[in-house]
Amino acid sequence: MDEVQRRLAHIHIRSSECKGCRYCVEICPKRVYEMTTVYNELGYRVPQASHEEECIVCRRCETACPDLAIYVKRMGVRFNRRNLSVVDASYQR
Amino acid sequence: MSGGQVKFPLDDLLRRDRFPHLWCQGCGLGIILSAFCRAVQEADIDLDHLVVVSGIGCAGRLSGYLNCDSFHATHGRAIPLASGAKIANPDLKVVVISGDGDLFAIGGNHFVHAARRNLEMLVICSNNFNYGMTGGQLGPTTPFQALTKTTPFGNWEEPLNLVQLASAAGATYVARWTVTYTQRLTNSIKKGLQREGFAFIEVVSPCPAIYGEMNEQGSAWQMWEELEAVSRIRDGIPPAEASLDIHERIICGDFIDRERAGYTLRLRQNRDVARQKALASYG
Repeated sequence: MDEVQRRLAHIHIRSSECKGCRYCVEICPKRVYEMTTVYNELGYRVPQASHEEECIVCRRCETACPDLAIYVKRMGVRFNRRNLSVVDASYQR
Repeated sequence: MSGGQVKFPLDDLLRRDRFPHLWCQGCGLGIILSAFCRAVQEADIDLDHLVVVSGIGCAGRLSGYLNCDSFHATHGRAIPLASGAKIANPDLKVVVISGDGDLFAIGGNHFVHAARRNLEMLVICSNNFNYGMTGGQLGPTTPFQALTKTTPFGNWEEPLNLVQLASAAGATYVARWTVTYTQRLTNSIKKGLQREGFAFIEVVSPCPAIYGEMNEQGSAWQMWEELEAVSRIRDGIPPAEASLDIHERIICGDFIDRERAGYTLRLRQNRDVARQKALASYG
């Protein structure tokens, strides 16, 4: 119960459709994404949501992705009533 | 990195089997497609009554990715085809999405007259300052002194101000956005979709692979940053003052928002009058 885990979103990336333009990496105000060294079938380097727990669901990356390859799914969050800490972030609405 | 089987919110509006699309890395057309799909979803438009027409060029491929009735018209003739669809069935919601070369070079006359007649349609023009698909030739929107494949020592012509032209021709809703204003663009498209009249939205879109490379504007993200740095929002100013200089200042916003009776409405009224007169003359 003491472990506070804040995770508001689950980020889905269709790596096979990504063209590696870096818009999501650069545009994110919370620096959620970073480029990997993985190449997809099209031959582009793909990004990865390595700091997903930082996401604030502003959906800037989702609307700016030219390949329509990002979906930020909002997660329901269960709070601890006494100290308002998150006790179960994996709970989905 | 997951997301192979997850259903994305826009999947119902897109022909996902045709993805990944053919546009280059960082092309603004994907953002226009995404904004359009979101606007259709938010405006709650029935896909059975939505027709999307596009002309030739990179933007011409956009209609093929949408899961609604869509037409890929001949070069410059997207607006005549859309006009025919709208006049034949006024219940349809008709949208033209095409490029600046298609809509304003070869199809310029059609645009002016559709705006003059106030045909109830939404025209979205993706302005990338050149003919991208054929290799980057000079177009009517190429900025002064810009380098293209046909003007390797700089363009000596002045570009056309598209919002000023649309406003002068009589469009009822005129706006300009860059692709960096994703949410504003979505709201603007939604407004245009809900309007009974000629609506025109110009979207300044980066072309990193051809125009950007010729003019040494760097990578897709560097072009995006430059667009973001030079664009300002001035809602409601006269379109003549809405300058578009890609290195100095791009004025964005809703410029014109006015009411005027639509073409198909007037056509139906005229038809009823003519029918009554004809019946009266036959006794």
